[in-house]
This record gives sequence, structure tokens and C-alpha cells, in this order.
Amino acid sequence: MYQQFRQIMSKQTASSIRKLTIMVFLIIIVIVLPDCEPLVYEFPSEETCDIYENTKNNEPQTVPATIKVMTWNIRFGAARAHWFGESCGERVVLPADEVRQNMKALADKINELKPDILFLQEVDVESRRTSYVDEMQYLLDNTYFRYGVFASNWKAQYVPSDGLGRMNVGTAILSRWRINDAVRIQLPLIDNQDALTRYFYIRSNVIKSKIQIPNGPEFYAICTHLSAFATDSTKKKQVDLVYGMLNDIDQSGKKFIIGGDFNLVPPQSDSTDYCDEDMCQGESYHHTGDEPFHKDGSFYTPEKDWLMVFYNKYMPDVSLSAYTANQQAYFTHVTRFNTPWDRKLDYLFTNNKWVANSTTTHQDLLEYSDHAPVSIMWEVPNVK
Amino acid sequence: MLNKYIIAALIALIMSQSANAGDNWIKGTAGNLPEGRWETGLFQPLRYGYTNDMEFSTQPLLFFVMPNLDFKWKHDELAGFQFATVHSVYSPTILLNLASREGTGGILSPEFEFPFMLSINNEVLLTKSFDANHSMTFKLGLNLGISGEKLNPTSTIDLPFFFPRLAVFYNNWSVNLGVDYDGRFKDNLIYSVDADYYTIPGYDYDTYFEHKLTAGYYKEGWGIMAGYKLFYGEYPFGTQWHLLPMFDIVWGWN
Repeated sequence: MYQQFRQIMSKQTASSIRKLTIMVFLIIIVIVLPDCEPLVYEFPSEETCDIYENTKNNEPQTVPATIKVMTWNIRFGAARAHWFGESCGERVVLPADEVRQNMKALADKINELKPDILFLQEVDVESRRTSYVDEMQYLLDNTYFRYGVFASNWKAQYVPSDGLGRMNVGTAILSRWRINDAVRIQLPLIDNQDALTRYFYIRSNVIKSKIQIPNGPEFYAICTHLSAFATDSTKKKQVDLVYGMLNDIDQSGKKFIIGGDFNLVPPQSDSTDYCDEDMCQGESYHHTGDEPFHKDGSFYTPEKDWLMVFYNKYMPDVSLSAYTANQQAYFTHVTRFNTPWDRKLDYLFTNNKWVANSTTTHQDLLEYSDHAPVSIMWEVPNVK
Repeated sequence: MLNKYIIAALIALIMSQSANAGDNWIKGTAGNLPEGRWETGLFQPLRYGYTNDMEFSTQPLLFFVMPNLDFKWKHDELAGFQFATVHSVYSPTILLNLASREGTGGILSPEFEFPFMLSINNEVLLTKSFDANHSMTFKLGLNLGISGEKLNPTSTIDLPFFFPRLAVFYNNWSVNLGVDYDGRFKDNLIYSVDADYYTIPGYDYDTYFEHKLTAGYYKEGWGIMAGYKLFYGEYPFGTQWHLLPMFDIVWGWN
């Protein structure tokens, strides 16, 4: 039997196996290569956004006179967990149960506040730190929104730092009405980082999309999240790019709403230096020899007027006069736990009209995120 | 410095999987190094032919952070097949705790502290030689993972190569099946193709596949090889393919 086997397995058979093997592997490579992702996704200057739709939710068919819009940085569903990144915490990876519990609280609150359009920042869709819970899908499945668009601002197969691992987080828009022509626009990257850090770092973006109300107008819905830890002129370049984009829309005669976490304090803010407020144990700032002298992402003094162009030309959710009269009432962010909000970083602007006195900064939602949502009523333009 | 070492060690771990083939350079078959012969490479393990039937190997780059030892034992032929068993132990505890750190190089979160972990692998190799230049090897292995305490399920390294090999510590056991085909294009020009399937029964992410194609030029005392390794597997985030290049320079002496 052994001799028979030897005869069967002749050289010709071996040659055939060899050819067959090579063919099979060539086929595998052809199939697989398009699926191979880069270690870090470097976005083009403009690309189409991922579209989400929950067909179980209805799309309203009547044209409302006003709609409610809201912006909320949801801190990747971490609520007020002592996360290492921006809150002096020690945690990196949150278990899925904890993330889902936080997301449920967010979804319940959204269902209660009932915005028609919701601008979101820091939405994880496939990140190790949140145990791969798709928070975009979760919100669509557990709220009344029918449509959503998502654009990553940090997408990497592995971030080899602090155990972050796989990361896919971004900005998003949820809407009752259909979202069309949604594109992700890349914002300038931080200039003063070394090449390796820059390669693995966050790439801030803007989502520019159109929302079509059936039998009603079409308008632009724009969501952004500017760089939090830029200490050079990067944020100014990002502001200029967004502002230029809004001007182009305005000049075309279209209406827009933009919402987001601008990571900038309003002009005329009393306080622009939060290094002491954000300082973690063992850190030191503002003393001779301190390096850096200011904490990254906490020193807004050089940037305090950068948003003035927006205030000068477009309608803010809170006017500068109202803000300067009572700044604390409009603060939307705090890094430390169990302390009141201490700065405003989140904004809504439009080139149309807000309903007077309809702004709410939801400062009661301190336990949901390190940002408070801001909502306001928008007058739907009477054009098709 | 430590960051670079951790990353170099992890790369070495992947590269060390590259199989050699040839008179002396056999690694993935039931054949053994001849008695008294040493072989190693930039990434290859250090191998030593203790007798004509027994071979020891270890990955020296990793030894102090991941103690590891392989013992290949060649037995009598079985139904016309060369027959060998490979028995391996390694403990990744130190390496994982080094990789669990703040800042750059932190492959794992510093909130994880890994207990004593030991993997014991036993593999059967059956090799059929078609002629002097071509052979096929079938592999079947049982891998056991022992951990001093239950591991946090979110502490996995969700990357190719590492995930299935560390999954055994979260599941306590796994099985691997594989086939290698080794051959010679020309005198010193040698190739190797393999496919390995890992199953981790009872684990949420239980299927994993690896394939590798390498070609090398080998002389008596040295060799150089290059190729690729293809991975497909189930991870906590879903399934994914990966394709990685491979290379190595190897040398041997008696």
C-alpha cells in the first residue's frame, strides 16, 4: 500500500499540487488585498460620509414652522468615567455593559429633549476603549431618528499608546429627515507634532450635509469638532476653513445650521486660562521651568478672539451680550468631577433665524458627559 | 528604549514564524536538525540539534521577557510518514506587563496587570516526502493556557498573530491544524507554503486562519528569505484580513 502511495504521489502530482497551490494563493491575494486596511486611516481632503438609516422610525411629512436643533459632545459614551485622556483618570478600556448603560442614559435624555436634528461629537463606532459598542447604531436604534451620518476623526487599527488599541471615533448628525450629499471635510492637522505622533493622532473634521424636509426646504446641516489639544495656529486654520465654507454656502443663498465642539471659548470671556482647573496630580504650570508652561488644551488666551468672525456675521445660540452678562449660565464643559461647568466650548450658528429666547444650555446633565448639550429652536425658512 | 524593545520583540515574534526549508534549514516539518548543528537568524529562534532525533529551540530575543522553549522529538516512521512531536512552553506574563503601560509603546492599558500565565503546546507533525526536493507536512496541535487568575476579557491584543495565540489564556485551550508544502525551485532556491487553522472552542471569537508563502536562498552556513503572511480571523470587533511582509537572514554552524 505504501508503494502504491509513493507511485501516486509522483513528481507529476507534486508539480500539479505546486501549481494548484500557487493559483489558490494568487486568488486569495486578489480577494484579500482590497480588504487590507492601512494601520492608520489618513483621510482625503473630502470624502463621502457613512450613512445610517433606521427604517423603523418614521420620517415626518409635514413642514414644521420651527425645528429643534441640539449639539452634544457625548464623550464616547464614557459619561463621567475617570478616563485617563482628559480628566486625570486612570481608566482606558470601559466594559461594554458600562458603555451601553451610559448610552441608554444618553438615548433616554435625547428622547426626552426631542431635538429634530442632533449634532454629535466623540461618537465611538469601533473602539477598544468602549469595547467596540457602535454608539451611532445604538442611538439610531434607541431614539426616534431615522437618518444619520458619521465621519471618523480618528480611525486606526491600533494606536500603540496607553493601551488605546483599535480606534474609530468621529462626529455625527442624526436627523428626522433625509440627509443628502454628506461629505467629510478634513481640517488642517496639528503642525507642531513629531511625525510619529501626527501619524497616529486625531484628524479633526467637518461633516457638511443637506437635509431635505419633505415638501419643505433643503438646508445645510454642518457638524464639527475642532482640535482640542492644538497649541499652535492649527485651530485658527480650522476656524478659517469652516468659516470660509459657511461663507460659500451663505453667498449661494442657502441656509445652514452648524453645531459642534469648537474647543474655543467665546470672545470676551472673563477666564481664558484653565491650566489650574485642569491640572492633574503631579503636574505644574505657570512656574519658571515648567515645560510646557501651559497645559495643552487648557490655555485659550491666544485664541480668545478667533470665533469673533462667527459672532460678527452669523447668529449664535447665545449672543455675546447675553453671554457676557451671565457667562456661567452658558458654560458647557468641565474636565474635573463634581465641579460645575466652567467654560463654553459648544456652539450653534446659523445664517437664518433662531427663535428668540429659545436657547437652553442643559447644565443639569452633568453626569452624562464632560460637555453639556446646547439646544435651540430654528425658524424653518419658507422656501422650497 | 523600552518602547523600542517591546515593539522589536513583538515584531520578532511574528517574523520568527517564518519557516525555512532545505537540507539543514528545515523547521516546519517532522525533520530535525542534525546532531550538534546550531541555527538562528535575525528573527528566527535559536535551534540546536541535541541528537539526530531531538532538537531544542528558543526565541532568544524574547527569552528574558517571554521565557520559551520548544522541544521537537522525532519518532519512528508512521505509515510512510516522518513522524515527530513538538512540545512547547512559554510564559508571556512579563512581556504583557511590560506592554501594559502609559504613553507611547503602551500596547495594552496600564490598568491591566497580568498574572502568571503559562502556555503548553503539543503538536504532531507528519511529513511526506514526494522526492528529494518536495515534501508536505500535516500538523495537529493542542494548546493549553494556564492563568494564575481569570483575565479581564477586554485585555486582548486585537491584532493578527497575537490574538489567537493569546486567546488560549482566555479560553484555556485551543486546537490548531495545518499543512506545509516545502520545495526547491533550484539548488539553493527554496520555497515554503503553509496554511494554519486555529479554533478556540467555546470562545466568542473562535476561528482564525493564517497562510504564509516564503522563498529563500540558502547556503550551508547562511540564508536569506522573504515572503508574506496572510491572516484572517474573528476579533472582538468583527472579522478582518491582514497581509504582512516577512523577511529574515539566517545562519547556521556545527
